[in-house]
Amino acid sequence: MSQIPVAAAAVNEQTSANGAAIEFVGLTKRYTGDHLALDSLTLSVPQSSVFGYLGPNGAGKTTTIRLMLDLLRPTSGSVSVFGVDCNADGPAIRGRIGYLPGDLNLYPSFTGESMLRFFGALRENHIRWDYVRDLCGRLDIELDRPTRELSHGNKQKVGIVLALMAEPDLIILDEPTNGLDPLAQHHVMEILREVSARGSTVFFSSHNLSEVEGICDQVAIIRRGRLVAVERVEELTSRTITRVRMTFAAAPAADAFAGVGEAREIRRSDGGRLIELEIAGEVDGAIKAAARHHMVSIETERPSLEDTFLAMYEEGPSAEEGEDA
Amino acid sequence: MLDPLFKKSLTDLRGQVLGWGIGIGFMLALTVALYPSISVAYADVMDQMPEGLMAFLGDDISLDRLEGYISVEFFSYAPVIVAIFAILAGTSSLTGEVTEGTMDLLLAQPLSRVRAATMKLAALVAANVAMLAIMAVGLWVPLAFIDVDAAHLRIVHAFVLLIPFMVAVAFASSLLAQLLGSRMFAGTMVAVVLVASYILEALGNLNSTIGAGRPLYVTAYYQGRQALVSEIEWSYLVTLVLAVPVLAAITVVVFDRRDVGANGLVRLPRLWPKRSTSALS
Repeated sequence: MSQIPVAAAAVNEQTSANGAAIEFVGLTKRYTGDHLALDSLTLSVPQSSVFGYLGPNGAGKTTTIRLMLDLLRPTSGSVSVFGVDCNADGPAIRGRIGYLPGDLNLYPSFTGESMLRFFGALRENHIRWDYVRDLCGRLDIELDRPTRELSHGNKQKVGIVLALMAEPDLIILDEPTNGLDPLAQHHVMEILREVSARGSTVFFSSHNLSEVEGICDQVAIIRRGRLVAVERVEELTSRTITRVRMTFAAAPAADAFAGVGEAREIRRSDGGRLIELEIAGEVDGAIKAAARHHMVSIETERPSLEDTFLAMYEEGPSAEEGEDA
Repeated sequence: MLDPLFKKSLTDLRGQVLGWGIGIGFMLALTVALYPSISVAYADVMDQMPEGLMAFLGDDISLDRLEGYISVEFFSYAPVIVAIFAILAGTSSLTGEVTEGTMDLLLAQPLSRVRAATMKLAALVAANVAMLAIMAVGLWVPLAFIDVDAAHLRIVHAFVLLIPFMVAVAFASSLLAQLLGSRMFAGTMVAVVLVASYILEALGNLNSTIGAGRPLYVTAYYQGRQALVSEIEWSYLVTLVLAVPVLAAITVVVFDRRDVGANGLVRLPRLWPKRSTSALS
């Protein structure tokens, strides 16, 4: 990529009075056909934080993001970014936002480089191309091939660079590591930590709990268009259920794990030798209880976020939750 | 310096512009090149042509001149042929980007929807002009090699008058595609209206009742044939020229106010029952 002079930065430095990067106030979206995708969302996202926005499919995550970008118009309520209503001055706000859609589509005939140059030109080249080159190098992006020839993961990498290239104050990522190999996921998380450390706010939608745990300061959980909880990540983690499958040389007593913290025996098979436990919070008590017996093997499984929802709210997903609205 | 979105939108249409321009231009070149050899035979055909067929083709046929010849051989049906290009380009401009899923990324940039729509429509105008320019080359190149008197200014008028017609069709297609949320449905509807207009306009020359409806026939607003062999009806031309900015304004306003990526704004009634999915349930 050839050198392009850095143009003078002309970003609007306006911020909200209470230091929030994003403020949702009673934001509601009802689609034609009376489908309520988002119901009175009121939420504040602190500046310079990494904020996870979590929920099962169809919960309303993508709708929320598209309302922020003024791609959808709210039925009622408002959303403001850095103190400015997204409907009132969309272009100025979007000049401070980098966005990765969940369902990323690139121009098929464009190469990775022409995609970056086109979107750079739309931002009037307020781009540090050295930084863009560095990002491309770290993510190992093939810039000279038409995007139609790229794998899903490689397209996703181009999309991530498109979101980050203008060094925006707010980065909105909808399932950013979708389709990436573990190494690329690691690099993306590393880059997001760096941009957050430099003061950018990252609004991050994901299904992946380990990803959320690794990077987010705070999370909001949404379900059926309603905000269910806003929590620090540590609080969410402490409520996470871990599944443990242990095989013993001889079957432990039926009450071997009774009264052990938050452990709950969910299945016993193979003559009582194979025991499956669900443990909420720390696993220390259950492991110590198991250590009293001759254990042959142990497997642990970190449940998906969906499983965590089921455990947290003790009800299954609604049949209404089809597509990700 | 060209706006990057205008440049990109025009580049997206270059294949269609070249394909249609060269294809129709070649057909025009062949038509003009054959004129000297068939003009005499044509005069005999005209003498023996039934009055009804003459009326169907129009009253102002004068095949002893090149303008009359290309009026019948090309410009009589040109609005329908070139409109196919305009429909395809129009339906793909805004709705195409929405259905292909690239509009989200585009509108997440610091540009207003009004600017995005305006640049897309401007690219449509430029693509239509470019396509007509290529076609025109096809007509004038053989004229340099054959000995025929031609009223060049009238031919230029016939081409230039295609511009507002094609642009209006392209804008109407773009608007309808947004309203219906379907490129194919919108394109089909515009094409049906055009073909029906063309047939009714021709039949109007035979039947005064059908002829009375001429202001309703879209193809009547293309005045290229009149420019070649008679006089332009200014009321039709002015209406067409005024329709272009009106359609553009409505298209931009609709795009500015709608939810991007949602279904069309107009919900059409279902014409046949939904296919049963009981086998899956």
